[in-house]
Amino acid sequence: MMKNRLVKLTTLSLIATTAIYANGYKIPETSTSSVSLLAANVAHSSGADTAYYNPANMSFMKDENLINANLILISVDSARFKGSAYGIDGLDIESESELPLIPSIHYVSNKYDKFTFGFSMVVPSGVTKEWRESPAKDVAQKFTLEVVELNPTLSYKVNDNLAVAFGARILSSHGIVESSSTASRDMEGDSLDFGYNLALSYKPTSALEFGLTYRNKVDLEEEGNAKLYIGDAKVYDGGGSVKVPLPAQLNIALAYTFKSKTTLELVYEKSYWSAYKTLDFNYTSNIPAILQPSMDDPITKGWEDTTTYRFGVTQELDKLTLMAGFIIDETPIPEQSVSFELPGTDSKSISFGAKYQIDKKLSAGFGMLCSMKDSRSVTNDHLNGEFDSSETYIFSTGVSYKY
Amino acid sequence: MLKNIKVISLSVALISSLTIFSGCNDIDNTGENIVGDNFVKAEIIDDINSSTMLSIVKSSIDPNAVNAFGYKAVKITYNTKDQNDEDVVASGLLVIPTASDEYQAYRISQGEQPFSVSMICDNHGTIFLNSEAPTNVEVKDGMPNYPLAVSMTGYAGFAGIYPDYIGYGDSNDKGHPYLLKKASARASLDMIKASQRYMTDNNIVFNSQLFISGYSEGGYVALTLAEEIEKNHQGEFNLMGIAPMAGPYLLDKFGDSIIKSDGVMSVPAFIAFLADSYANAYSNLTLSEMVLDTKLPAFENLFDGNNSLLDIQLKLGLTLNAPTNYLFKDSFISDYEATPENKLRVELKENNAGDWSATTKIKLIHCSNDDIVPVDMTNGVEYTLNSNGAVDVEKLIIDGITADYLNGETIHSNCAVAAYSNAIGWFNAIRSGEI
Repeated sequence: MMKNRLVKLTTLSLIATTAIYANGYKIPETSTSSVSLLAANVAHSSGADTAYYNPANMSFMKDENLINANLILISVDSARFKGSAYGIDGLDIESESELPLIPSIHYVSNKYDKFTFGFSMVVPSGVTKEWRESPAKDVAQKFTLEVVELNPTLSYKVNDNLAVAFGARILSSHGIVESSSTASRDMEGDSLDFGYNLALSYKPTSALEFGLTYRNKVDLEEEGNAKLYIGDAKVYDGGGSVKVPLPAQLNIALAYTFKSKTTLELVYEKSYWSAYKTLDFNYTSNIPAILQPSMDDPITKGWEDTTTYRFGVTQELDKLTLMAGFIIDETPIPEQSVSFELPGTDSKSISFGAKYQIDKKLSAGFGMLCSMKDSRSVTNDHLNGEFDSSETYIFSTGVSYKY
Repeated sequence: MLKNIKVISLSVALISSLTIFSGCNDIDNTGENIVGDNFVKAEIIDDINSSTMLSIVKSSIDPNAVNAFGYKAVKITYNTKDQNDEDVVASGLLVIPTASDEYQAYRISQGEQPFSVSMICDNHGTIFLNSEAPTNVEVKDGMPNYPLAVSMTGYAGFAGIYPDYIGYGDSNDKGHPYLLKKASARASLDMIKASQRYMTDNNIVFNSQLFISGYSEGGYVALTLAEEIEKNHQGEFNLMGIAPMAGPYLLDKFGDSIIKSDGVMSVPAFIAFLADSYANAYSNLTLSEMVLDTKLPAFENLFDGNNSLLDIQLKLGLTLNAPTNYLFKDSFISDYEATPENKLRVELKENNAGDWSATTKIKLIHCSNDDIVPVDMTNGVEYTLNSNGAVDVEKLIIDGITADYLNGETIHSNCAVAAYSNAIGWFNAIRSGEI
């Protein structure tokens, strides 16, 4: 009976664990301002992180060089599951908490005629998750995906109201997948992938701003080494790969600034997670037949596109700028695909933050957000129970310098 | 609640990614599967279906049998190394069971997993003729030819891995490292690896459970193989049970019992083989210092796989139960008896088996009245294993075995049937979780 259960466990996905938000494994916030505004700073953006959130807006910034550096600390609560899983009743288990520290750098150049150059180095996605209790560890003892994106951008000012931008995305990622059961996998891979992003900014009046941004889908093809074990016996030690998609994303944004220097921002964000149809581990050569169903056959994911609404408010007060945000986020993971690797749930988040202009060149800020994930009842082929509600906190601090 | 918080700095990732951007990659081995990459080639000798095997099992093993397994005999050619670490291309016989559809349906109806293959690496006893090597015994005739494989595979459903050993089969041009620990273990170990690779590449559903057995010389090889796996290859095999049978495990004690002034060689060919093997393996040992000058010429090509036991003893001019000094020089015998540093004694002791802290279940099997390998070998190695803290050592001493000496039988050879029956039953009990 135990063997039955363990063999079934190995037929599961081993990728992409508890995300920081509901929305897959993206990390939308890559700067202190975006943490403070929950990445609603698309239509109305003025910091160096404009290079990332809406590079077309770089054309409307002052003719100066602007650089911004941030440290972002993410506190991800443990995921707790109560119920039955893989034939075991009465479970009450939780994953390890995570506390990743993420840096980012943004830069916007001075003007070159109608062109402005920007550059961002960010961590747009990334997860790490560890379960140490069965049956969760049999499926996803450890999963880590680290993604670093270099994103040079170039904006072009069409006229005083309209600008467009193009960016190249260079993504370096490193993935680790470990599962520990009767059949175990120890896989590590790297990937270097490329994509692009487009942006448009339209300002019909000085108060009203529209923004449109698009990032294309990039498949992270993690290639490296895989070791497979049956019990203690290593039966495969060779090349392995797995493809993890970063979905395409469309943002349509609107901002309005009142005379009181209060800016309201709204972003409609569509993430095309339906690209994540299957998860398919591949190997350079044959793996043992007994492992093929669990370790080799494609696993249906069937994720769904998601819509996120982002709201932001900014109040400028002389040298001080106050910011706050709110989002409603939905999970892309259908009930049938929910498992310990990624017990995605819908969430709501709130944020606030502030920037202070220290002198003419230097400013500093901080921001924090709290993402409240709903509890989720799950009944599918493997799980019958509930993932508890949980919180994620993000703390960010950053400095900006212009010259 | 935040507990066991782990700080993972993605800034490290940022830095490491720069390395990736620069083209450096420190992930080991992204190429073909290196597990079992010593596999060279395979040749299917025979593939006998389960219904034919059921008839054979009923007629030869169990008249009441209701199931048998198909018998796919494959010659495996693989790379290994000899005692001096020289590369050798060796061979062995792999016999793979195939379950009938009816048997698979029966297992599923009983709520069991579909049949998957567990493996026994069985190590044969001393042979002198190359034609006795497993890959030469098995021939393409639509019938199973290796009797042990009929029991282990056809009847019990294990994959049987039968190394020819260096010196036989494809490596017949090499000398056989007779009772030499390192080469003995490595040839069998590499045969297992190559067999697993063959099964992987050919979609055989094997579960990696490994059992080790062997009789006589094979008992010795079984124990040295198990020691090698536990000491140096943890994490490569699921070693489930070890059944060494009637082996000369404690070679120095074995030597002591024969190489003495009043010593007797029950089967002189074995002792001559041992002397020849050690003289070839160790540069500080020569046949000329051990063996009578009058016997030396007979050793030329004596163990090349073309001479039977009888041929060897005829060429040596020795009969069963010949005095030891009919083969060895008196001066050598005296030195062996009197000098702890005697070179052969030292090397024999160096090659003793069983001197480690075993963690896998071991069942030592021997017949009490064994006339070639004394049962004290098993009693002694049991003591050695337990003294080293072996976790689970069991001993079975079988009584009552007889032999018709006039027909060339010995207790030692006749004991094998009872010993193997018990070992296979023990393996099956472990496999099924009964013990």
